[in-house]
Amino acid sequence: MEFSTVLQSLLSGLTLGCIYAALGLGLYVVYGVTRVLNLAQGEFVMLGGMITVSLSAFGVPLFPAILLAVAIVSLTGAILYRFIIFPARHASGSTLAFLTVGFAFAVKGLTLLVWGWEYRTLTSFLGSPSIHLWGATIFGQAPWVVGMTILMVAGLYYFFGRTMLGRALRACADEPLGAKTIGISPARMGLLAFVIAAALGAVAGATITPLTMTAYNVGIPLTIKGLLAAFVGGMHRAEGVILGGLLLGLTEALSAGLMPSGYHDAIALSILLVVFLARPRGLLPAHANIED
Amino acid sequence: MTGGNRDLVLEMRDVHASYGPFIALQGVSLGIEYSEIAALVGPHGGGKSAALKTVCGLLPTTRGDILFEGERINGLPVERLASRGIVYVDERRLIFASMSVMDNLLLGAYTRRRRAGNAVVREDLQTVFKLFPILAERQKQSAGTLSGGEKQMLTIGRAFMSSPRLLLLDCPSLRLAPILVKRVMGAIAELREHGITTILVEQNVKAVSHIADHGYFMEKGRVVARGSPDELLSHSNGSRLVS
Repeated sequence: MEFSTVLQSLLSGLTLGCIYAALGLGLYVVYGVTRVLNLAQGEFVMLGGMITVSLSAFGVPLFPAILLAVAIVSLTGAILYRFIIFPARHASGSTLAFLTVGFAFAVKGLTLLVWGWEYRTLTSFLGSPSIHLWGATIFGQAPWVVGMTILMVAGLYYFFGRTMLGRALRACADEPLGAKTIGISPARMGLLAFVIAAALGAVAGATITPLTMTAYNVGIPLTIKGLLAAFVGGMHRAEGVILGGLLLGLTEALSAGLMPSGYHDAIALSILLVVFLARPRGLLPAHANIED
Repeated sequence: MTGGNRDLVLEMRDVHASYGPFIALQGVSLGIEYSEIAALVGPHGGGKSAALKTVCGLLPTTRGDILFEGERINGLPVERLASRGIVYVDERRLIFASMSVMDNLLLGAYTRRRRAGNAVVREDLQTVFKLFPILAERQKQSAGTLSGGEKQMLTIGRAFMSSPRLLLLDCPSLRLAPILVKRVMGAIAELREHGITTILVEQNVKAVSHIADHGYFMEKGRVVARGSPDELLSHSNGSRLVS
């Protein structure tokens, strides 16, 4: 087997892994704070891509277009929380998850009405379609996808680890009643979590569109990939979700690149299943809380 | 609604409350003065914790009024009451397990940090460390790895960081060794020096007899006796209370 083939698969896997990690992080933020499995996360990604494509088509420069898309999608996240999740906040986890599915279908339908069924794309951010590296070829957008994920992770680490607002969000995740008793409103923090997840989704959507294209129906498959990353890595720790995403991406790319065609999905999913069975609570241990 | 007795930090007037079909409080009336330590004592299921929970907004009242500094507070959510100075410490010690001891304490001052300023928050942090030196030693340690006694100190310290005007402590001695009970009760007594009014729920009258100014004996959702800790102790002996 040639070095360039392995390298090609590794680089593709890294890129895919970063996409899945970004998706999983959006799910992690919402689940961590509100315990809601937001099955509309992929729609935020799809909307981020679609809005950026449209604004670019209207002549808005790329980065202002992304910022506007992030603002609009964040508002969508706020609407989902304020008008659907918050009124039903006392319902069971599965009911809340189903509500997000309903929202996802509504967004999908509206997107079909507004944008039609065509796939749309953006040009690579720096214009170069591909990069050649030691015999392997990667898409010119791939480094942007990796960079976006690294920035996202660094931003989340700073926000959750260094700012009081981030700590307050974590407090709601750890112990919602404890947070309430010191004046932190879980409802406000829940809204913020949905807005952050939507913003992360929009950034991811704009960044991956030159690579994967976007259309009204890409949201749910993206959500499923994000869920896989989050479940395999473990929803209780961001590091686990990132590892889960990378593992999923690398497994997919390596099995597609190195195994006979037709088997790669089965092989990738089998490997993930083995990992999941071996570590059902995620790749990394949960934070300790010793009972009295 | 206003019109309560301004000398009282808290007044409960004929308060009724239920946990679904189970009646928890049946016409509880009491008054707590500024800077005092009041104890709610009595047997398990007597309504002590339910009374605290109605004050902090966790248990809705079905009848009656709760007045905080003369203002009616029935129905206000827990977090808004906490911002107004009513801070509840649950018997389950609801610490933020994934965060450090220091982060837990700083979060106590979350709602007032801008208003109070960093210097005041730092000063309060030093007060907590004086009350509970073990927390200073363990400030970088993950809160989830603390022992039961240390967690109790952390929850009281975190509540102090919120600058409460009324501190509601639900069974702070629960599952603690006698030496730790003494230390925790000593710290609660010291909080009075900072102008904090405290209501303390305990099953064990003896545990609070040295620090409480007065108390209420509760049974079957009613206040059946009130008086000094010694008077309550004799009442509890008469009603077969474990002591």
